[in-house]
Amino acid sequence: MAEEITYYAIVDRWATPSDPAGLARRRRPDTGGFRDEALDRSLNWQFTPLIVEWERAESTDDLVEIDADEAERIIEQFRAKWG
Amino acid sequence: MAGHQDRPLAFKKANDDLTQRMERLPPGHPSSPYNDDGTRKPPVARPADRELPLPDEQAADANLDSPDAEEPSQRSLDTNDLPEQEMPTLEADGREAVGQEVRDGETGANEAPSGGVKEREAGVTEQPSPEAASPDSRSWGDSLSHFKEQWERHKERWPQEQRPPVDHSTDEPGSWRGEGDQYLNAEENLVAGHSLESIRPIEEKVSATVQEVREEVPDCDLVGLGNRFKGEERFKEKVSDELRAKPDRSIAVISENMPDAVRYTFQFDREDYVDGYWNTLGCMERHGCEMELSRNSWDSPQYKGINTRWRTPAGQLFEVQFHTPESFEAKQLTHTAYERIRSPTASDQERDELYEFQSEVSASIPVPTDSPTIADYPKKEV
Repeated sequence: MAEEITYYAIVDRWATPSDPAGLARRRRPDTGGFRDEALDRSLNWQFTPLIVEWERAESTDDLVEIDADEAERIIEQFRAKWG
Repeated sequence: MAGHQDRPLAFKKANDDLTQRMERLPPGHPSSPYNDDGTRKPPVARPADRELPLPDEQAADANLDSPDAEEPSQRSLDTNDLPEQEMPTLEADGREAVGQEVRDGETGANEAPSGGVKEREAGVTEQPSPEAASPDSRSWGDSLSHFKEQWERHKERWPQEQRPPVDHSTDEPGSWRGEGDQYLNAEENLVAGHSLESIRPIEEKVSATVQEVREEVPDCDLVGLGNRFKGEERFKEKVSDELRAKPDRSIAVISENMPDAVRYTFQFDREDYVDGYWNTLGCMERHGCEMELSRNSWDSPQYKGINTRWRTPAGQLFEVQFHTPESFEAKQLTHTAYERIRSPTASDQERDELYEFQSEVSASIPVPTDSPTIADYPKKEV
């Protein structure tokens, strides 16, 4: 079974789901367990606690689940800004 | 925030509607102000007065994790040696002594009997017998014992190695590095530190307001007050995590908009929870505070409660959580699991087990009557 990935737009008070402040994802490898990551300014995925914090209502921001195509579009948006 | 100006009016209407709806409920309904025979119900005892020590909490409870003792330097991966973060005492009436919120909030067994707490003393002498506890309370107590054992087994299965000391050898002077390798350069560290320091003088006023609200709202308890401040290390960890995940946001914007740098928890029994929530909102607003956000997580698989964000008239953000004794207890019980889940050092497999543990605990928490009727504010736009 392939790895499952769920993407989330990070939406703070100045952002919207289509123009988010950041992007996070939860990876569920076929070996079990999960690992959460966020995209940094270098467009690398780094470990993040933000999804877990959001699930525990500890997050400053809201997370909105998005599909892989939308995530790709947002990554391109960030690439144009930061790349 | 859009639509914010309509909220006070909306609140008054909702509060009036709620009162009217409760009046219309059939006598004997849990939320009805009338008994089966049509007589008006007597005032309800304070939640803390009715709490009973759990079977394994008769002694000072060292087995629960403090949800807010978040200083990594004080943080322990073993629930048996978790110290409290000492905070200055501001309570005049001795309701909540520093560093006692786990014991006080959980069992009421160590509540200070001195200084103007007559009603609390009276409540202690009038505690109902265990037989009089509701079925839900009994099942939660059983579940709690089970979860504590489960947590002990988890720790045996996943022993935590001693963390190596944080390596600062290549860091610039004045910078900060956390135990999870979060990093703030010297300038960022200065800004974050200044933001946190600037909150402290304002906190005293906010705490005084919150204490007044607690006095004015019926059936209300204020728990965890000793940990109202987010610790400096945890604050900087969170700032660094957000800075990394939201590269366009400045350090000042992130530091100054941390909603839970100061946080409070109001606690109500399940039967009083919904009324307590609305009464607290009204009272907070009468004290000049403005609610910016309310998130109802009673249907969440990982956490039960309602978290709200407020601004003082002076503009200071702070957080208010609404719990029942059970959901607050669950939050404390799962705190170390939560700490481990969000740590980069946990393995993917352990993280999954921790997640399941939190889900199981959350699923066992009795849900307050009518809590789904409390809508998010502002409504989520998805």
